[in-house]
Amino acid sequence: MKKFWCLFFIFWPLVAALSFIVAPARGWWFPGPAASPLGSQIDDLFYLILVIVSVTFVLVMAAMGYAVWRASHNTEKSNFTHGSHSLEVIWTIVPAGILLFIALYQLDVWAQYRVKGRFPKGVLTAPIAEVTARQFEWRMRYPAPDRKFANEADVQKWLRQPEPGDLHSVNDLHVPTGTPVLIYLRTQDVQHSFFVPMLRVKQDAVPGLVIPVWFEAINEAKNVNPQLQGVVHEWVCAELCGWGHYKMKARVVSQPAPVFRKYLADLQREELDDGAKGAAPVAVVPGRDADLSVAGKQPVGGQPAVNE
Amino acid sequence: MARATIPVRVRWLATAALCAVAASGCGKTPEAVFVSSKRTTDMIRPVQSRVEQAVAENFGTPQNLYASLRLPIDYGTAEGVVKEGGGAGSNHFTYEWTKPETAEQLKKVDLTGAAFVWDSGPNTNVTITRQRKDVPAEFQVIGYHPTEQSIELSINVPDNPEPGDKFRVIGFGMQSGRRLYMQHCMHCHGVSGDGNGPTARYLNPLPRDYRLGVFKFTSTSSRDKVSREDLHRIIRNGIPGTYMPSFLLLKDEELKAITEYVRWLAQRGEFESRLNAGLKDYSKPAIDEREKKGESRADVEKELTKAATSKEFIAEFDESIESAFAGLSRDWGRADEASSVIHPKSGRIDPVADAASIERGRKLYLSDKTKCASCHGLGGRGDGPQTTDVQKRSDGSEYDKPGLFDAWDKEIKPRDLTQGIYRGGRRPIDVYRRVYAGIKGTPMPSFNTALKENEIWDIVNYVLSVPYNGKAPPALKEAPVATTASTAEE
Repeated sequence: MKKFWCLFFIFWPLVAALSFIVAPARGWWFPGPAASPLGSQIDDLFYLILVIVSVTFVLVMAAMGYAVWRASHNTEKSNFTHGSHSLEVIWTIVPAGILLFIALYQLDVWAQYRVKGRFPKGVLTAPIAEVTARQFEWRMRYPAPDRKFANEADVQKWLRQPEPGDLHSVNDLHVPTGTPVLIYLRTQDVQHSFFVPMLRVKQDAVPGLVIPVWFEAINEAKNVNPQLQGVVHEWVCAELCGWGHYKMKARVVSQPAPVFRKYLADLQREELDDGAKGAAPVAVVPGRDADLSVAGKQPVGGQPAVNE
Repeated sequence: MARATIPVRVRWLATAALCAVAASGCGKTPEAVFVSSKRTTDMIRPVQSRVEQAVAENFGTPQNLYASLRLPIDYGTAEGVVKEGGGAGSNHFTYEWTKPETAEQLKKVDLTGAAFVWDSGPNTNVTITRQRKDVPAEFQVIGYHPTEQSIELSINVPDNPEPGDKFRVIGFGMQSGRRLYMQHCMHCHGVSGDGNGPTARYLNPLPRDYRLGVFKFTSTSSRDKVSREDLHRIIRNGIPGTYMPSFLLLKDEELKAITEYVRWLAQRGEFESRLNAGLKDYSKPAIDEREKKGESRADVEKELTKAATSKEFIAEFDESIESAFAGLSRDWGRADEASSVIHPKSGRIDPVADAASIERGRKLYLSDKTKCASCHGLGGRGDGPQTTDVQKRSDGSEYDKPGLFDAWDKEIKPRDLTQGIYRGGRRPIDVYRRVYAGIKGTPMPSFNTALKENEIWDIVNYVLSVPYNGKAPPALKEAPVATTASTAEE
């Protein structure tokens, strides 16, 4: 029985070590390669930490397995000692050193992502949109396509006071690809979180705050949706925000700059539609059923859908 | 040393019990049912059951929907012909779709459970005996094998179908609509579309109750119902300022299926209320009224029950079913005709080129001609004097508290125009239609006769300028293209 526990404790580090290698290599449970340059740096940090913890985990488990295995031959009654002072010092200082190394090593990526002074040049005064989270959807407000911001104060003014030329959309954020873009994130009600896994962006939307978030999307040719001429990134809310949290699913579409400009132009045309010229309504529905003249009724059976 | 040990058998039993609890979950999901409206349940017993029966006979249950072909609803229909019958007395045959272009798409659709109709051949008039009575057979698809191109039916056919026999499969679109509705909409709007689903109680404003057949934000004229396109647009874009979220990420065919199912639920509810409209004398409030006037309750109930079982009553009731169907078919069909959609003859007045337009709009807004300010307030904050007055119902009685009420008897507030949140859409045409046709089911009246087109545009410009300190969004510079596809494509 004692041997069983020794093997048990050795078995798990083997499984762990294997999955540490196999999962990233095969892409199991991973959101795929980052679609942004800063995202790649974040991935590098992730893998570094993964290596550190896997090595530590395997070593600790091996040491424990060895200790248990050795003790399993011992038939004497156990006695308790204070332990080894120097060993305790070592296992305190070594992890502390590792943590300190991680803390310092990641500072640069952190600063690029979060510290305004390290944001890409000019991005703060050229916001793509203001994104407002609410229960349970995301609403976009783009500045008018010809709106230029003189400075950050001008941007703040735009955030405080909407302008007549602003364009609006819902659950559908379009951004130009290949260039850093910035959104101002806010929430109308409770806390939400802007999470685009492909772009490695996650930022809480906090009531009362307007938070700048920047990212850069790089389109890979194989992911391009031919109809949209861009890549569709899944966008979800990552903060349990209420009973309809699961409904807060949207998309970020990164498109080449000219396509993005055309998108804004189309959005403007849609938003300023006065219904008079080109009076034909957009045909989104089929014509009337040809069978209307037939009298009578037919059952439409099926399984109850409630339990699905 | 004595150790408290648990006998092995007890341990196993405990584990088994725990597993059983875990497997049983948090209780049974209640079965979906269509509930009757309060007006129906207020009727005396025989009338109530007659109405309920009529609704059930024509619309079925959530588990077994009925597709009334008299209603203008696209249930999802596929036409086909028999290639080879499986023999007399069998229930299967091979087929070919009449329209080869739809065949590929039909492969992906699950036709199981859909209704099946013979349009030609020996099985057209098959009847089956049910409760000692011969009734027309109601065929249903119970097996669908698109790779072998064969269909299994719920009832065996007495005669072998001949190659070339025509048939229709009806209702697969409806089934997918129901599935999606149950998944995405039911928890607020309820199984019956009564706006009383399990999450409805957390919402303010409350979710729409479809059963009046009235929807607020439409593109159609004030006498017309909501169009398919309106519903599609609302489901896709959501309603800002309410809890109705956007379902943009659903596929277009999924949105269409939900739209059609919502239309069906609305027509089901309206069918019920049309039947009830002529039966007011049989309702509890009417009996209460007569009791108050001194009649004996038992006598009144006896008299009404007798009347409700008379031949004349039944004939009249059957007639009201026919006229309800005729009305529904006419009204809901007309809503999707191009002529029902409001289109101004001339385009919007450009508030930049004609700067006086906003000022003209403001004066109209404040004028006695429109009385906009009486509800929306002088500053557009939705705090006009009417909101603190006691209003009257359509039957002349007064509400018991001050404020404005809608057709669902819920207190509503006039829109605060300074917020820049437009529930029915923020396009100039949306605001134009709100003013032109009013908002259905609410005290917002239609101004299509009181105002000229350019006056409505002035008001639209003023309303659109309120959130922006007097500046309205500019007018469109070029003619719009037929489809603004970039926002509509998937």
